[in-house]
Amino acid sequence: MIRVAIADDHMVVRQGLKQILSEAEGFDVVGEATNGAETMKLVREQKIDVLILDMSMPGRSGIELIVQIKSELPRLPVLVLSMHAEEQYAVRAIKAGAAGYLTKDSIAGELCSAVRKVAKDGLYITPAVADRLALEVGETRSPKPHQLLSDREYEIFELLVDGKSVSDIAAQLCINSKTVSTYKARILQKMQLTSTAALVHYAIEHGISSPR
Amino acid sequence: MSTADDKKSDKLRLRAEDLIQHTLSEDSRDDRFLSPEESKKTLQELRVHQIELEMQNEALRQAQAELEASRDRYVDLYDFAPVGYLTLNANGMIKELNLTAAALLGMERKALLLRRFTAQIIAEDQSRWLTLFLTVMEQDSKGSIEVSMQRGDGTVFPALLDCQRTRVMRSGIPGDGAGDTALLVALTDISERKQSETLLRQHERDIQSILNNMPSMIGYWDKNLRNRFGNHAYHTWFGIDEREMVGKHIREIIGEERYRLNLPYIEAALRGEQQVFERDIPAPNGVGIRCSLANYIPDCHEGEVRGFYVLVSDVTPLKQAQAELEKLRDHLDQLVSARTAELAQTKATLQISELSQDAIFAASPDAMLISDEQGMITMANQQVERLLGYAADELVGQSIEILVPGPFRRGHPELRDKFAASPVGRRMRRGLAVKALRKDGSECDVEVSLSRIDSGNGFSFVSVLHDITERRQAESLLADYTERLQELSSHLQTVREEERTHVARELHDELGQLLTALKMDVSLLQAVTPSRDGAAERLASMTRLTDEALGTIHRIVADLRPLMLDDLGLRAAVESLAEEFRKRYSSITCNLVFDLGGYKIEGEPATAAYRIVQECLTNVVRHAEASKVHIVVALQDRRRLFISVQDNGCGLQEPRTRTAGFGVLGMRERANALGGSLTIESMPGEGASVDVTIPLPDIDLGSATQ
Repeated sequence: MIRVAIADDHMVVRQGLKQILSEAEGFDVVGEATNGAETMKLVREQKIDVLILDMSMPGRSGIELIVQIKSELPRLPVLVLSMHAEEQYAVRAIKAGAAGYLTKDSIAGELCSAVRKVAKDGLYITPAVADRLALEVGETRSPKPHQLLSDREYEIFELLVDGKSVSDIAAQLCINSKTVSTYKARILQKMQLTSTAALVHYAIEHGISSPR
Repeated sequence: MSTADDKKSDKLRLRAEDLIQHTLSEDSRDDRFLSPEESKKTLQELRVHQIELEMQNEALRQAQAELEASRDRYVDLYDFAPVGYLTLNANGMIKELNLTAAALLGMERKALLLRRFTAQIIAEDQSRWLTLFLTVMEQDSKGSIEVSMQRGDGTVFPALLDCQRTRVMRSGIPGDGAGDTALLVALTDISERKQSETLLRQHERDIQSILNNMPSMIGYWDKNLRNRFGNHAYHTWFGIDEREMVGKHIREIIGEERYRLNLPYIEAALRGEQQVFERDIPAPNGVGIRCSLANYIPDCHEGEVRGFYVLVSDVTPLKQAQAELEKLRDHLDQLVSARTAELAQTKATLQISELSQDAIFAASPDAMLISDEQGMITMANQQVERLLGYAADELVGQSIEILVPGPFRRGHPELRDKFAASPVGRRMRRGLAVKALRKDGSECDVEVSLSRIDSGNGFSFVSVLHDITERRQAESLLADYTERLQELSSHLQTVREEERTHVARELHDELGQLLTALKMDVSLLQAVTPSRDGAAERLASMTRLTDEALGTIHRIVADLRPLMLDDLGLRAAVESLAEEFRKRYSSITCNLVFDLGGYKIEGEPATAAYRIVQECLTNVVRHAEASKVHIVVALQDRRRLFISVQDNGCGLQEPRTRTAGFGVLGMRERANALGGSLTIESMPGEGASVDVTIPLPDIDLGSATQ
């Protein structure tokens, strides 16, 4: 038997969930909460195997609530239910410590398997969310200033660093030299630098050398 | 000599006694009968005669002595005369010559005697001499000739020979009865005369040459008005040969008409009065007229007028020059009078301008001050009183610094000097809004226009003080209104955002949850309901409708308010935007760089950032025809949120859209409401970029979560 607690401020949703779980085998809904405070009380007092947590509730809710629950009960699997289909929610929730993320419109088909999966110390995530998670791991550190540049800006940045003049670059890229000047100003602004010399210095410091 | 005289006297005595006896015998024949008285008387007479005779004799003797003395003198005179004398006989032989002649010929007298005189004349002149000699000897009694004579030593000298025929007695005493014909020749050395004659001729030639080369006509007319001389110019003018002219009457030369005209001057000149007059004379050859200045100068000698000189100068060039000068002077006169008129007009204008300047100065609605280089006020108009509280007279003589409020006063003279030194570029500094210190110590807002006037002896400075208190008030009022409007706008924005959030929440959380519950119920029903009478289809349809309803709510909610912004923060919300964009527009590469360095940005800046990115993406889709869009949301300097959306599309074609696009206006409004700025750069063909900077004054470093 998997002891399940449900935290959702909507009674109809709670009842629906209970209905689904009761019709399936092996689930015991041991508690309900309708807001953040009740949820915290519930998890502290009840022996729970899986917490089904609505993303949006009155009071403390969502990511914050997940973080708090996980800080107190790090081993409690939290399955997040959400009206939000966007993967951002899933990713944030999982990064905050949730074990799984379900959108409410997929509850009917997936709830039971999801609860079972997270109850066994597993993660319940869709492949799309998994991809995103993998991507975000690489993005944890702040991008360097030159990473703010658009492709075209980066191209011109490299040429400037290479010692090309504005008119050289204009000729090479077949664009107006005024346009090059505008790009240069934008590059300097994005990188928070004030001169071509500073750009060159930056390039050397960060090992950016022109391929040409 | 006395012995010779005695002998002569003796002879004379004898002859006298002979004569007496002869006379007596003849008388006795007539007077034989003499009375004693008569005898006595006769005797007496005889004695008287005798005495007389003796006396005569004595006189005679004396005369003879004198004669002899004079003859000696004559010989001396002859020999030592300054002129050489020679006597030639009919054959031309030298019969006699004095010492002077011998000296002139450079020979002894003896050697010359009885020589042919002709031999002493050089060969070339001999025939001339002989001709004269014969002529004088045979026909004329006198004649003279110049010949060159040869001295004993062979040298030659010019000599003048004056010849006179005479008869010489054989005794050698000239003029004594019938003797031989002889020629007396006076020989004079004329070397010196010749020399001076040569010089004189040279001199004359020189003068002639000078006269002939004079451009002026020079002539001389004697008192009978006969020409005596005319120079080359004179002849040329009248076209007369030099030789023809001399001796001609003036009337013949100058013509009847001109003669009549000139007669008064001629007569006056002949009276000894110098005449000067001008004449326009047609040239005798008919070509042109020339203006002549004639000078008649009388030739007076010992009070008598012998003639007059004529000096005629061609003054045509002079006249022409004079005429030119005259013209020039007239022109100058005209110029001067024109300038004078101009000057007068200028003066009048100036006067008017000065008057109007005074009037402007007085009537100007602005306070005006004139100060000198030391900053001393030299003039002020009445308006200063209203503006500054000082009477105009009070200010004159004061330093302009008394009008400068305390904090600025110290630096003011330096600013003044700077302006005085280089008014270039700021001759007129309009719109220099400053505070002026009033007499009562209060300050007022003025706009100062400065200008420098070069008054010739230094600079003056005109300051026009325009009272901008009202304008300042209006400006601050306007700024106030603008600020309140902005606040209102911002408030409205916030309210709207709040409203939308509320509605979105209601829709999403309430209606959405209900629909979710409905869907769950339907799915439960599907599990238990047997498939008959189309119940399964109905249930499937219900599920689909519920999904559609949820989808609609989602869309509406997403449009109303990005709930994710509140739930997950800016990063998730922006990432979601990008993701959504990628999903919908797969042909456009969307690149997002998000870097807040771990800081959490919430509230209005977050909303603004989100909405701006959202709006930009909408624009890119609508207008840009881009293939790439690059989004940057970054924290700069830890106190500015920098948002940039750049596309590689066609750029903004119309400048109007830079500011006027409604979406752009909204973005700008949001940025401005937060004290930020928005710039749009468009590079045709290279796309457009929207850059927004929003200051973040209250970054909570502690609340950094991600």
